[in-house]
Amino acid sequence: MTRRAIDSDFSLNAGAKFVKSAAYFETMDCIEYVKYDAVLVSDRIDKFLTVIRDEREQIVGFKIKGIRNYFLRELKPALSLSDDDFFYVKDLFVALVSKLGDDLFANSPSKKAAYQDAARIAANDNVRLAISGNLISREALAA
Amino acid sequence: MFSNIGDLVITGPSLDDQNAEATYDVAGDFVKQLAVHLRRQPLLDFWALVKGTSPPVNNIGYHEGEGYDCPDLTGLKGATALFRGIERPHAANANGNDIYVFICPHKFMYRLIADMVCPAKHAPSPNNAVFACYVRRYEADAQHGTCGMILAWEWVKSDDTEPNLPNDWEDRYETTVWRRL
Repeated sequence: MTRRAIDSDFSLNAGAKFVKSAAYFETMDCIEYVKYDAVLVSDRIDKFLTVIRDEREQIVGFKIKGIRNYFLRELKPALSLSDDDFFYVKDLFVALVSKLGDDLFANSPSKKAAYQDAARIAANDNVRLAISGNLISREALAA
Repeated sequence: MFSNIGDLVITGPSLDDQNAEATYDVAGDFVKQLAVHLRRQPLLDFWALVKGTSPPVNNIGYHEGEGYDCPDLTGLKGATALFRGIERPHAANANGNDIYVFICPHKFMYRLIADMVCPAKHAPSPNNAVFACYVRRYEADAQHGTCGMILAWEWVKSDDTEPNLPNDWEDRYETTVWRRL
């Protein structure tokens, strides 16, 4: 069971500055990436993806949802992992999402166009992910 | 930034009866993760939007001045709808049907501002958004009488036709538990 908050959980590192990065939020089982700290609004796209907008409705981040669920249903049995391995798998996902976020918001027009093309392809095709020789389709994940 | 945190048990509507009150704990992991990643605004939101009090920061009220007619801060008590089931994979649950979502159409909030005297200013909430607070019910009552844990909170895009509810509210949640019309 998740522990109850205590005063020290609210403690901020004095003088530290916000750095854009991905973070795994265990209580909501999602990895969240935001460009900056502000009043932000989540806009649900589907069961796996939420985009995060600022008050000018610009996309400034995103959430990838169900990371632990994916681990439990797909990765753990496919790779004969234990529940404890999620600790490392989660960090791998966070690192990948951080890199993805940094690239997405790098203000590089050519990269943005490439990601938009990739997103279109992913939306139109049956995207598959190879895990230990097994192909898992997006439809299978959604099932 | 925050001093004198105060009580971390939150009072809000019951998960079963919109006219009854219940108390909830707050998830330490969520708060800690916000703090570690220096997400000050969602931490600040805890007080006005979840707890229903002004935030415990230096010189709060400085920007508003004496005599400012501050609208009531209702926190979770201001919820106008409760849904159950977030229709997406969540940990061991395939569709998150053990998670409740309180919807609060707060009109005002405190915003972080760069100011040496007071870092928070009372201001209107974002346009086209409602505040969502995610709760998991305890299987058995906790020792101190709380009935569930607040897992997270956030602003979500509001529905075009029902602006006091989240976008696509009819599809994104499994069940409407109650609504205040």
